[in-house]
Amino acid sequence: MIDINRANVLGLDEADPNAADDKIVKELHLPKGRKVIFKMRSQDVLHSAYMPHFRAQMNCVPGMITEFSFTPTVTTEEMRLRPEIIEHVKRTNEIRAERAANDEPNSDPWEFDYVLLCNKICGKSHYNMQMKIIVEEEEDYQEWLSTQKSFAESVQPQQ
Amino acid sequence: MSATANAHAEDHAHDHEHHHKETFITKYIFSQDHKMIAKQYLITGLIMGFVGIAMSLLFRMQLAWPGREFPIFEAVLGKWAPGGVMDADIYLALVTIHGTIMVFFVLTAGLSGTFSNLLIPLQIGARDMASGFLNMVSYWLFFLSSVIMVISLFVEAGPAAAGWTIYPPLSALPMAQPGSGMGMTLWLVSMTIFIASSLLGSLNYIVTVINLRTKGMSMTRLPLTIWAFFVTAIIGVISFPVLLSAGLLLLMDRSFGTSFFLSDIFIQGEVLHYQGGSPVLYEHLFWFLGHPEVYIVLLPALGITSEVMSTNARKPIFGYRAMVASIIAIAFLSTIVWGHHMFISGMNPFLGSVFTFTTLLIAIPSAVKAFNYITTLWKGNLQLNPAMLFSIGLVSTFITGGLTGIILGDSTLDINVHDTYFVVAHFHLVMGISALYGLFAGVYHWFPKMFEGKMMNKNLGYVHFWVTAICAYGVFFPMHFVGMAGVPRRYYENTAFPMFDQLTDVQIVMTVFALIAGAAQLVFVYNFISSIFYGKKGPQNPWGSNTLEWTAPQKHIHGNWEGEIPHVYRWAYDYSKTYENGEYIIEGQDFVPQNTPIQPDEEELNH
Ligand code: HEM
Ligand SMILES: [Cu+2]
Ligand SMILES: [Cu+2]
Repeated sequence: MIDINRANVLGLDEADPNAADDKIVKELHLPKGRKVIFKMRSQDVLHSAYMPHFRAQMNCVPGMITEFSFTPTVTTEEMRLRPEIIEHVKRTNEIRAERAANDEPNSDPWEFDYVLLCNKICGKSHYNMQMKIIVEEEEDYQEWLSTQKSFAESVQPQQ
Repeated sequence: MSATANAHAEDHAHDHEHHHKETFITKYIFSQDHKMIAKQYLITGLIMGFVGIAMSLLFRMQLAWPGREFPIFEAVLGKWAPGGVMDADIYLALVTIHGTIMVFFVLTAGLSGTFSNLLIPLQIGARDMASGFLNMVSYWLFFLSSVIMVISLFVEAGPAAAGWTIYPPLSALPMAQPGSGMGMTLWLVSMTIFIASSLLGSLNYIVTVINLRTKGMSMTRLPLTIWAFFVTAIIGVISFPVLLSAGLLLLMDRSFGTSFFLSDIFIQGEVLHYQGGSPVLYEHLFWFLGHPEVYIVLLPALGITSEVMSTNARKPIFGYRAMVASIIAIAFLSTIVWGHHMFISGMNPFLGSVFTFTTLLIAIPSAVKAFNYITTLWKGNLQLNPAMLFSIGLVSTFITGGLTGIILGDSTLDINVHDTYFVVAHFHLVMGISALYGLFAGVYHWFPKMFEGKMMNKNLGYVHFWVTAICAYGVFFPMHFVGMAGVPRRYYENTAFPMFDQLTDVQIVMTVFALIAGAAQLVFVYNFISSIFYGKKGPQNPWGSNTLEWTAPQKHIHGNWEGEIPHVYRWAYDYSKTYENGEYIIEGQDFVPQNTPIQPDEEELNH
């Protein structure tokens, strides 16, 4: 059961040994050059995990598991060095600088990142449902992974 | 059956002078006369269209200037726009009701209801619909459903806001969204009544076309308008009940604790008891109607275009039988392609490839139609009146929108653009704008038939057409690129993603075009209303048309024709037909009405 006080934000079953090594994250790290299989579920309403840079999308459906897979081939760092991305970022930051000058919101400078966004109407916050995706080299990925706590480690003991 | 009905109708006509004491109520309100019912459908549809388009302008303003204060928002949205800033919930509600109103109330009832009612009896040579009473009931159910839909805008927690497709669980759970409370209940009640109305209307159209054709009016002499209305009615009868079943099951999930569409739900800190249902089932049921629905919207517009183009090109329609065959093929195929809306719903990818196959098949009859329209225009003596311009506009938007359909119909290509603005651009052009043009073409063309010979002002018609045509592309053409850049639909604002910042200017361009397009519709409204009262009276057959409605007197009489119903001797498209020596069949006249017998030296062509 979801128990925010005990940091069980997804409502995993503590008795399930398969849940013990799950890692609950706020951003997705993917290793470059390895096929990634996404298994998707939803606990409330329909959502759709849309990753426009990867041309990937799959609905998340309560009551069933859907899946999608792809192999990321360009790391976030490599992406940021591409001329068209540099150009896009430059143009965007000009717009943002102008906003900053006019004291308007949404004016922080931007750095390119892959995103996952929700693409199935899901309620009031639909327009703001997103997650950062970071594609990195295998060793960086492993390093990141080793810093993440497993569910068994992160969940607070019963009081 | 048909003989008795005709005989009865004829008796009726003979003594019609004597027993016709119509009161205001039986003549204008609870009328059973198809011509009056057609006008009722049209005016109700136009009023709903006004509401629907106004909503789109409001949310387009929010998209162009996200979070900006507009006094107009506060004026019309009240507590939903505190300080003039639109609330995210009401944004979704506006989109939802806009979609629902435009698709069902304007382009299903307002378009097909108006012209099926007006033209079926008049063009096939019948005194009225098979059942005037059911026809009246059909209109009043439509009216009632419109009223309920409008009332739902005023409920405390707001109207339905789950998108016009109202996918559960969002639409099923009041705690998921305020609009899923009373607002959604009223949406479902309204649509249930709407479906009943549509079924009564469609059954009536089908029976009338089958049974009440005048002597000589074989199926292969029917004008293409009638073919289109007839087949549209059949698809309506096949697919609307499936939407009704989806709606009823949803109502049961909402109110009686069943789990048809719901399973394993945890929401707002609470575990719900639903077990074993599937939202994907709802998607199947919805789209089993939803896809045919786009043809229910479009086919009547295509039928109107065939008629208007042939008349105003002063040429026979090119490929009459191919046109009929493609209407039937489209109708059949439209019932087996619904899965293309669900490629990423989690359905089996193999099934996706099957739906890709059937979907791409529809391109064939659609292309046949587009080709035949262009060939009909080819070397025609084009009379570019407003009805003709809107018909040509329809062919243009139908092709533009149809081409992107080939992309969306491919299950792999769709992954990347599904539910983005690319889709919004596609369906607005191929069905929304195309069908709207068909509606306008019909109004300009048959206005004299509806309002006893009065004509609409041509110059205002030209202004209406050109501004609308330019602005419609101005709104929806750039939208393709916004979609390909990854912008999802049903987003209240795009500011949460810096990667979309560079599209802000395009958003403003689209909104400005939309506002101008909306203003252009006021020209139409003015023209429509002032012509009803002050329009110049034209000749009985103002466009030199062959179909039977122009043989009926301008003044509306119960039973349509004084005396006998005209008999039919030829198809509806003998325009510019000549004898072998090059003389017109009727001297000095480039058209031969359907009730003209074949002349002695005339060759009857096999169409
Ligand atoms: C002035 C003309 C119109 C404008 C500016 C307009 C604009 C829009 C926009 C921008 C959306 C997408 C909103 C979003 O996803 O956030 C939308 C949705 C929609 N529009 Fe229109 N529209 C117009 C006319 C029409 C017409 C003639 C139809 C008839 C078919 C139509 C049917 C729909 C439908 C079905 C939706 C989808 C609603 C949903 O997502 O639930 N619109 N419109
Ligand atoms: Cu969402
Ligand atoms: Cu479809």
